[in-house]
Amino acid sequence: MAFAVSVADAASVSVLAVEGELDMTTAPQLAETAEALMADGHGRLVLDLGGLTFCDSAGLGAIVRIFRQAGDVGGSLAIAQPTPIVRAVLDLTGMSEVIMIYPNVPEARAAVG
Amino acid sequence: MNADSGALPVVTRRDVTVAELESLRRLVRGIGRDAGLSLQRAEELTLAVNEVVTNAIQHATGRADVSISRDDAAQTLVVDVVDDGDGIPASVTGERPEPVAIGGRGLYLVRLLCDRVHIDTGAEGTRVRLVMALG
Repeated sequence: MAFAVSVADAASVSVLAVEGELDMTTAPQLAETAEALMADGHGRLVLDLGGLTFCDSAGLGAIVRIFRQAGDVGGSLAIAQPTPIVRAVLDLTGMSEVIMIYPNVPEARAAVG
Repeated sequence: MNADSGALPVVTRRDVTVAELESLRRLVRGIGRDAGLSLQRAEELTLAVNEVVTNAIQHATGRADVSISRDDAAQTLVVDVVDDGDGIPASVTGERPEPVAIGGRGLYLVRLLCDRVHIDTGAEGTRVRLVMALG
């Protein structure tokens, strides 16, 4: 699956649906998409990782960067429906201890909204 | 041919660059599954190989040689990643970084995900051997 980030803008929460594989070549695309949203005043973000089949340390770095920037602008970040392998690396790296993770988009959206 | 006794060479990819990262992952996934690794273990090996090759691409010379072999005697799948960069700095420990650190997770994940990891590094380059038990 080709890598893609699509943004659905609700009233107060932006949902970024991430599809494909996140690595050193695609991580900047995710970071830039999120940065542009935050620059526009959208600091409440949900990363929908339901279509993300692979995430390496570069991808994890991009997610952490977004998490920190969201905090800096007074917003927040939640992750929705990560696939098992992505959930595993979020757990192994301790990221799931600091970033909210929900089994579906509506719950994640409610958490940051 | 692989110089190690008992090891059957499976496949070698020379000069893997960033352009071949995704196809390399596909290759490792496929070989891992064919060798009998579970979906989860094949994916973990794929991530580990990806991390080591990414390190070579970003911190060494932009390319690495990858060879994947199956050691039937030892019942293992062995992946060697070789680059001719300046070696891994001693400051890279492989410890788990803080959850909110931007970087530094690569080697930590590699050590965690593989059954054995051997690193031979110096000014002439780096050889990382990843070993996964089969069966």
